[in-house]
Amino acid sequence: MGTRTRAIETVISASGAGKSFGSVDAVEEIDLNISRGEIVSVVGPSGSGKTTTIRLLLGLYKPSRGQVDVFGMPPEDFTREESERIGYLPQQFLLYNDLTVRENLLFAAGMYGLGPRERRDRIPKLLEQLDLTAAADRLARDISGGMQRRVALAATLIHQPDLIVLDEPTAGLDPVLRESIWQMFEELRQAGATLLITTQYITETERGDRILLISDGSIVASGTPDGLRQQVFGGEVVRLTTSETHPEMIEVINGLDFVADVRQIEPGELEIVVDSADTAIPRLLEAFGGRDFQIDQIREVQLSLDSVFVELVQRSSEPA
Amino acid sequence: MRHLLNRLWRMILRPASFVGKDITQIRRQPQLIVALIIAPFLVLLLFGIGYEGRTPPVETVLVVPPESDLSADRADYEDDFVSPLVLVDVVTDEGPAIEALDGREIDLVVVFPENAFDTISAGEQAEITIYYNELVPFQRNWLEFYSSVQTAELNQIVQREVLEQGLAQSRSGLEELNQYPQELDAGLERLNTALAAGDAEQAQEELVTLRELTEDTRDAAGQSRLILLATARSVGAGGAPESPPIQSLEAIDRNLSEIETGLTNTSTAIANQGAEPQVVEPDLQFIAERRDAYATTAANLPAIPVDVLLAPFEADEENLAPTSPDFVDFYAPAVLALLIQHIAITLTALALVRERTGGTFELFRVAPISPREVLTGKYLSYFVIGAVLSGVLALVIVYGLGVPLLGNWLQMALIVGLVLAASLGIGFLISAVAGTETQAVQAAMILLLSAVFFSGFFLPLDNLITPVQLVAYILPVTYGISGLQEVMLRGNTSPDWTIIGPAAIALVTTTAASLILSLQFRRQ
Repeated sequence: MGTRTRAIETVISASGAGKSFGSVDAVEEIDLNISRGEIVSVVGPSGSGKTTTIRLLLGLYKPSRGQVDVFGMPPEDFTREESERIGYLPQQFLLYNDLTVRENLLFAAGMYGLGPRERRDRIPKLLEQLDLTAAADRLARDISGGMQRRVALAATLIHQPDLIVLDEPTAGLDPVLRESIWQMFEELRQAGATLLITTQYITETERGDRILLISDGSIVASGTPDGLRQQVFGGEVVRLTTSETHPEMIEVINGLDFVADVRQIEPGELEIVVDSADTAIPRLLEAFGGRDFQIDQIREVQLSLDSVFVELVQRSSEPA
Repeated sequence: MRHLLNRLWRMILRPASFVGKDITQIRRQPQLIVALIIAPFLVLLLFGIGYEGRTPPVETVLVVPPESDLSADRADYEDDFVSPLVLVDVVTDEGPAIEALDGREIDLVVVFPENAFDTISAGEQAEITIYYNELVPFQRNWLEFYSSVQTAELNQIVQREVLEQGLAQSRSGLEELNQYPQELDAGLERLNTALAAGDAEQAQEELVTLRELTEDTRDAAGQSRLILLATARSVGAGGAPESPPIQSLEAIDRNLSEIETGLTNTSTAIANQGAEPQVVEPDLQFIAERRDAYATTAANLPAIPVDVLLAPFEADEENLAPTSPDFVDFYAPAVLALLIQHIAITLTALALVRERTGGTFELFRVAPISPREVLTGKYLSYFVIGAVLSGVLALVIVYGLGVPLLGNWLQMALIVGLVLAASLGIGFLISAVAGTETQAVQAAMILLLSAVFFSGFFLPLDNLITPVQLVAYILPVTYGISGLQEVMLRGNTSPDWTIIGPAAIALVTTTAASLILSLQFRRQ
């Protein structure tokens, strides 16, 4: 990563790229640009096409249509130098169980053409970073599943790649470990690496810069976490709790120009979609002034990404 | 320049990473090493200890029908049965013998014909029926062979009887030849007595007796000459007419002919001039001279025994091979070749399949490693593993079992290396094509089975029809068996075809595996 320039650089770009197996469209048209230094999370229901999308972007699959470029060129034109800039952790990557943790890393280092000095430098560091030093000489079959996943991650990072593509790297790990691994991803980003990560843990996606939501082989939404929330609800959400909901209250709210929507989610509770919660709350209170409305609480609600994704996926599956 | 060197260095490092990995993985599986080296060695050792190599006795019951008028005493026939046939009983009823054969209590039943003489005297061969109860094809072939040998032996017994009878006359003729001078002397003495008495009639009678004696002796000599000539013709002695016994018999015939002439002349002289001794003296002198010549020749005539005439040849075997290996020694090089092929194919057949099913294959496709580098790395690692295992096996065979190594180690190593290289190529081809480990193992087992049947391991290659022999020549073990036996047991250099064959297999299969792997590495 030392030779990387700091200029904004498109690492992966896809234009109308899709993949079909026979008559089945596994991935429909993808238009995408991933810049250097970005962490892009790919989420979606099981079987939605996340892994196929990753493989398409890595060049493992030839696009049935459209174009994919990585480092500014189609993957089939890669020389060894381009391949050496990629670190890939497949979803199914299993370690060699009859090798020790260190031997697994030595093999990975050899596969990437690292010499003895580079191996001596990097392996202890990675073992330490991933809290594997104590397990270095244990057979891979004798360590826990979480440790195995970390060893696989270490093997992916051993040659210090520019583009790191990780298919569910935190699957099966406990929350504490997931947190430490995401810290590591952020450090890698700080060092200039680009990360494309699929995950089933939606909360993790908030740690990234961008989220791609894939459903039925299509990118149904793309953007920052807040951006997606806005996309789903049309703005920020303010929740108002009152002892008694007056029909007049809803009329008043609907009459405000900064309110995009209002709905009663249960008796005494209203959700109001506004452009900006910070400015909308004082203006709402001002609008209620002089009226006999009993307001118990009014606050901005940070809706979970889970519900955002459920909403987005449901919308995408509705007929147009 | 530095960049180029760095690239070259990495091209070495990448395949080398597989060598370290694969060797460590095999090293970590002691059970596999036991299964690959110690178990086959124990099998060979057990075979060596347990296999006697002798043919088990064929227990035989002889059925002599009562009508045949032959003896039913086992002792009368025991010496007439040739090994491995062992006469266990002689019965007169066929039924119980067949029942015993059905129950597999005995192996063979030989039934003499009821009316052999009638059949033979009608000019036909009498049939000896032989029953056996056997499923195994080889065993059936052997039983049929033993039966024909036994029948030949029985025929020889009859021939001996007949010939002995036939030669009795000839033998008496030979005795006659030897007695003739004395009988002639006695007859001449009686003739002289008659002449001394002036009894012409008695003298003529004596001369008739002497002519008959001489004529009979000529017949006996003629018969002996014919037998000798017939024997000479049957054994292919082209120069027999000039041989000393024939020459002697011809000289005897001439002597007897001249004696006959002398006797006739004597008779004529007596008839014309009367029974006076001085009248016949020249003729009797002539006869006496021929008689002495005859006696000298007849005394040196050889008498040929019946057994020699029945079996004029006996074998004197001499093996020109430099060794006469026992079964273990003979099969050890073949076992070594078979094990090398089996070990190499079994290990490599799984090599790529495991990477593919384990998920690492996908990683290789993205990583800066080419299919050729993957194959080269794996090829090298398994070659090293195979070479070490083969070396250990070879040492055990030569120094542990004492199997001779008449050729040199380098020749042996060359064949082992080529068989190994060819087997690795086949293993990688299987591994490149197989979708699952089960498929790879099945393919390896089919090749092992093919090796047992088609490599010349147990069955000579010449027993196979030509198209099937082609199967033999796509198996590295075929070349390994021939080459190793030639080098180890004959001390020769390995024939060219045993070098070219496996080298070609290695080249073709490894190239094919590399191409298939390259296709699999391509974008899908």
